[in-house]
Amino acid sequence: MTRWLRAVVGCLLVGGWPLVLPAQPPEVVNMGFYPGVNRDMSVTGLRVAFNLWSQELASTFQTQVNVQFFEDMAAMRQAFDRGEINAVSASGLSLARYFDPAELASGYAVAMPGGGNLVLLAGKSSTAKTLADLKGLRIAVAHDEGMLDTYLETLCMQAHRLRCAQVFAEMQDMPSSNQALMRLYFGKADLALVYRYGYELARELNPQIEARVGRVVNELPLEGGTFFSFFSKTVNPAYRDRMLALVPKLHTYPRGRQLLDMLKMDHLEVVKPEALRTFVQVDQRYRALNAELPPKGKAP
Amino acid sequence: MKPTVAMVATRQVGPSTRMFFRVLGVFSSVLLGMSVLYAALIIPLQKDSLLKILYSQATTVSRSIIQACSDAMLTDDFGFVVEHNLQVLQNNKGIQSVTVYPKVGSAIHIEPDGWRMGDAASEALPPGRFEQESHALVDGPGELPYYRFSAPVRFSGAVWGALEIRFSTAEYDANIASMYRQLLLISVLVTLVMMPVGFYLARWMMAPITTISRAANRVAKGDLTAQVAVDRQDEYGELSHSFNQMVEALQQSRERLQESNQTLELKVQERTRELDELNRTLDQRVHEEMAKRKEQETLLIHQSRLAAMGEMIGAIAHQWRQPLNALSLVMQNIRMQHAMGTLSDESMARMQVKAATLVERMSSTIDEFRNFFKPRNYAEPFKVADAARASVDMLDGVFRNHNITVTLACDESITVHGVQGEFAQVVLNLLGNAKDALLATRQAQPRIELMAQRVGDRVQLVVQDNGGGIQPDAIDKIYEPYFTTKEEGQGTGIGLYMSKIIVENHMKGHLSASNTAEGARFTLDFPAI
Repeated sequence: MTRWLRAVVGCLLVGGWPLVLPAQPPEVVNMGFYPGVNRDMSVTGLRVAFNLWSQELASTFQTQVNVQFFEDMAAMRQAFDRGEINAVSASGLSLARYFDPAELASGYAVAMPGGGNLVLLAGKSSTAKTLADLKGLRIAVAHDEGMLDTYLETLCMQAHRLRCAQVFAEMQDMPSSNQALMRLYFGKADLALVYRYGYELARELNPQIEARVGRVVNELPLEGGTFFSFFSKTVNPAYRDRMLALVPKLHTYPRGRQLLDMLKMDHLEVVKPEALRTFVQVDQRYRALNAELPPKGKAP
Repeated sequence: MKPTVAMVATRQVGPSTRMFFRVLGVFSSVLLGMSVLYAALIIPLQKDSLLKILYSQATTVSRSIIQACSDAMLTDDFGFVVEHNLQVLQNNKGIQSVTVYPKVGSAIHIEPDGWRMGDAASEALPPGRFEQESHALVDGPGELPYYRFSAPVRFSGAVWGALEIRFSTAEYDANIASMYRQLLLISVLVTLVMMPVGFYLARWMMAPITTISRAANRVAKGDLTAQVAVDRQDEYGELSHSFNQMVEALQQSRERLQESNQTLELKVQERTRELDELNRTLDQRVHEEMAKRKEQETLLIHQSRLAAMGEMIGAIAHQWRQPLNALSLVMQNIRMQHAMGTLSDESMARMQVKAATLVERMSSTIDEFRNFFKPRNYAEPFKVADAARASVDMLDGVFRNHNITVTLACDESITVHGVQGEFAQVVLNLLGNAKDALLATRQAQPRIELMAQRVGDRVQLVVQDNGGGIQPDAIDKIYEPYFTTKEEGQGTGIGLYMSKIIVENHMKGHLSASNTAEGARFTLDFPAI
């Protein structure tokens, strides 16, 4: 799912519920959006999409949504602090690094079929059965906003007291979970680190994958999903609650179904900021292990 | 059942609309035929064009896939190949599947909702697919039709494998269906538009025919005042004009016919009166004519008898000549002996007996003559041999005088029914004609033969000679009265005519003449009794 589409969804989810709501007192949502680093994403395209949706929402449901794009989370954080934005949308790890869950209110998470767990898979003919067997192998990692890389580094540092580059014979950065699994399937890699929903999708696309790539070496459960939108606690609770009540029903409305189908999303789930806890833990663990090891480039 | 005159006469005759519908039908058929022909010509061309579009699209997609996946193919990064083709399939709804056939390794089959690796043996391309491009519309049983395009994948001239792309023919089929619908719509529209045109055209064409047909019906019913007013400068106008002229001519012919009928009627009445008058007198005239003919016949018979008598008198003269000479010699002997004084009683008695014999012989000739010509007018059975012999004896002197040999070979038992005198007259006539022919031709050995025999239930009498025969141009006329080939004054020309009457009318026989190699042959044929 491309980031800009997710951005559209975020905009719609946060500010688009007047589509299905009767006329309400006008609210203004100033959302900060951090799309992350994505080779496929065009910020210009995102801006155009958001503008279109904003105009539709404003004219139909008298709801104003202002989306502000940020090129880094630090700037978003500063804007949040200044009160310029009252809603934030970013990947889980990004939000976990810059926001305390306690200062955020409930929001939405993108739910993908199969779930957002991180899964480390090995080929069935591979010798890797535990984390201790990872050394010297080739691994394909799906590209995301950093969660997969951070988690992998954590695993390597935990199991081998080494960084990934020193553990694996080859690390392949793949654009998607599917492609990472393809590398594993076709024997171009010994391991693949992907999201569960990516693995499920790949199995759906080709059931043969499970026969050749079916061994889970490690799995990290992630509550909710990988991309979140949270309201600020300054947003009108009543308005926020109304929005939250309608989120699970989005896929039941024609417009909502159309939107979800377009973004290849299954549905949205209401989540509390506590859903970021796993991200926080991984990040903290990573920092701690990283601090124990010599800096990169220097021998351990 | 063939229609009889009565049926035709009673059948209702009126203007038929069959021709109108035929013209309309032909017009419609031509329209429909042209539409079908147009469709038959255009549809294949359109299909071919659509296939070319499909082919062009296929080659474009194929090249783009190969170009995009070239690095991945060369490095066996099939994951990228699959991922890329999944996107291609998701972005191109018209593509059903893409199958990559590496020359080494298993084929990879990609569809919009998934992909799989195939078993090398079962998924192998048919031979030749690695060498050359191929494309075809596939419409097999149990599956949706698709367009299959396959092409070899080459890098720097070397064959890496092959790529097969299957395209949905939904758009193609939709285009074809649309084309058919358009053609059908056009055909329907053209038909709907042209039907009235055809209708009016047929009516314009057939109206004059109908008018003329109606007029013809009136003429057929006897109304010769019917005229056709088709004022057109074409064949219909000419037909109308000709029809009117024909009716006028018929009217005039009728009038002339009526006049002729009247004239003829008068003539018939007059002629009928004449015939009635003629009929009344016909019987009388017939009787008169028959009496006249009988009288003529009797006259001819009398003439014939007289002619025969003349012949006989000549014959008698011939027979009497010799005895008279002999008697003259006897008388001269008596006078000479008396003068010499040598006449004795014995010589006187001898000469007296000789003289008496001669006189008796001459007397018997008279009796024969008299008996021959004694009229006997009733028919009775008589022997042919006797009648023939009598006729021969009658002319014996003549025959001996001219050295004519006469042979008579008659079955003595043969009997016929008739007037014997008439029969003898016929034989006499035939013998006389034979004698005359022999004398005229001066035969060295003149000969006449008579033969009578029984042939079944008939009797035949043949009289033949060697006198040279009857002239060919006269043989058909010999039985005509007064016809003769003899010099004037030598023959009457009624002998054979009378002979034929006697033989065929009186004796119910048949007389025929023919030529033999030597002379003439007359055959008399009678019923035997």
